[in-house]
Amino acid sequence: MMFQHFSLAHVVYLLRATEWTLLLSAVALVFGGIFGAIVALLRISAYSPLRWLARAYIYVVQGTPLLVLLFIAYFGLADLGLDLPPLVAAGVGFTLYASAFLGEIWRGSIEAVGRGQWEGSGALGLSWAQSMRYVIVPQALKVAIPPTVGFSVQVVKNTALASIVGFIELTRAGQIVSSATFQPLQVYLTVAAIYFVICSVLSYLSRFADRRINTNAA
Amino acid sequence: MKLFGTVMLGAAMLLTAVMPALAQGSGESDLDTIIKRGTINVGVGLGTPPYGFTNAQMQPDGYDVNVAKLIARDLGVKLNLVDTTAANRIPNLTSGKLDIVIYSFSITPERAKVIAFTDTYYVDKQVYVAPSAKPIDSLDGLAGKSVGVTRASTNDIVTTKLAPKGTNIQRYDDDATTSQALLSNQVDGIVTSGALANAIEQQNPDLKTAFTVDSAPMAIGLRRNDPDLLHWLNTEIFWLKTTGEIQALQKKFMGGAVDLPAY
Repeated sequence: MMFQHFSLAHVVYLLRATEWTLLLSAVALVFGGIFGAIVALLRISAYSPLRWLARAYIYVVQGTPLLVLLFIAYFGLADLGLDLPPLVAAGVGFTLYASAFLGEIWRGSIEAVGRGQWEGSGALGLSWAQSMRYVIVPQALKVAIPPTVGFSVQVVKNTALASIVGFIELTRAGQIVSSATFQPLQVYLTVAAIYFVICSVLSYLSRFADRRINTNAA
Repeated sequence: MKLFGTVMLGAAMLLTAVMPALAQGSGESDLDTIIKRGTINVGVGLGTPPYGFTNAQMQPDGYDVNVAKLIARDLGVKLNLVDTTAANRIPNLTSGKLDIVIYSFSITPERAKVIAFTDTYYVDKQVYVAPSAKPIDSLDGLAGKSVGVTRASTNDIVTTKLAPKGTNIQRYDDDATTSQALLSNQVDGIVTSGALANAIEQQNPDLKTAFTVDSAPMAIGLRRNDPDLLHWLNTEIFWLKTTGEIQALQKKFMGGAVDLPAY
């Protein structure tokens, strides 16, 4: 057996694996975003049992390593007779993880809007939903964008953990190429560059959104 | 009557406890399931050359991968190769995600409590590789030296067990990183599989296998409690030895054929 030379074919292989990284990130952020919004709303609910439920959820999920969440979703549920395909298992694990963190980030952003804003919109005769839609959320968004993007960058990098459920995503593909070429430095520098591009695009979008929102507010 | 009630309750509890076990026991063998399904799900490691790796066409290749291909061919089913990692070999079997695992899996009595092993399909040596300019010829010479191994591999296990006191064992995540540590002089030598040592020395003529640390018989892993599948796999290993196909794969990927002991 001879080792291969790190070549364009390997770079193409890494880029193919990047598709999984992007898909897993998208699943995590879309479903995590939907459930995160629900968690945030429960967290600021007027009913204390709902608040406690959300708080317990966040406490448990944030206190559990993502690797363990993925392990439970894939291997643990299979032991109980619920055999999820890899993409669904990874989706469940990442949704749990992202919703707990996004829920808490957005709860904080909503609460950062002063109480006076609630009182003011109440005085104008706006309902709870109208206050949320027209007064609170537009102001909370400004606060929420930087930490949300920061967390999204974390999610992109954490998709590397999905290799335990059998995905050949970017990091695992890097390990495989490195084992075939025995040139780990070149391989991992390429992997790092691909992650860097993805995360830079996210940061750029965030600055763009930030500017737009701030212009509208001015 | 009270006694009768207690006995009945006890019987009911016993029944609920035994029922799932019965249901499993009376189920068909995975051998039939695989044939009916028309696909066998095999766990391999694509980051463990020369057992499993991607070839120049970016397709899975290697000793383990080709043994899997022969097994699928002889079962008459399609092969579904699933890339996994050393630490996930056993959970993948016990949770039912994979049918069998072919992954340079060394036989240990500890592992055999949880999963079943077939007869050996390879026996690998764990060897010490170092620059030929700095010769050490036995384990005792390792005291005071730094030795690189791949974490949780058979090489790690035997080195940790056998190396003398004062050996500084450095653990790396995969074989490529371990050999990189040797090439960049971060360690004095590495303990790696004999098959991989052949390949490394071909590429780096100044490196040499100094001595053999240990040897480990390796087998295909499957779930316990499935005598039919276990027997079929043992029959298949015997058959591949008889036809010479397994020796051909050993020559192609491992640098030579080895004797395969059976139970």
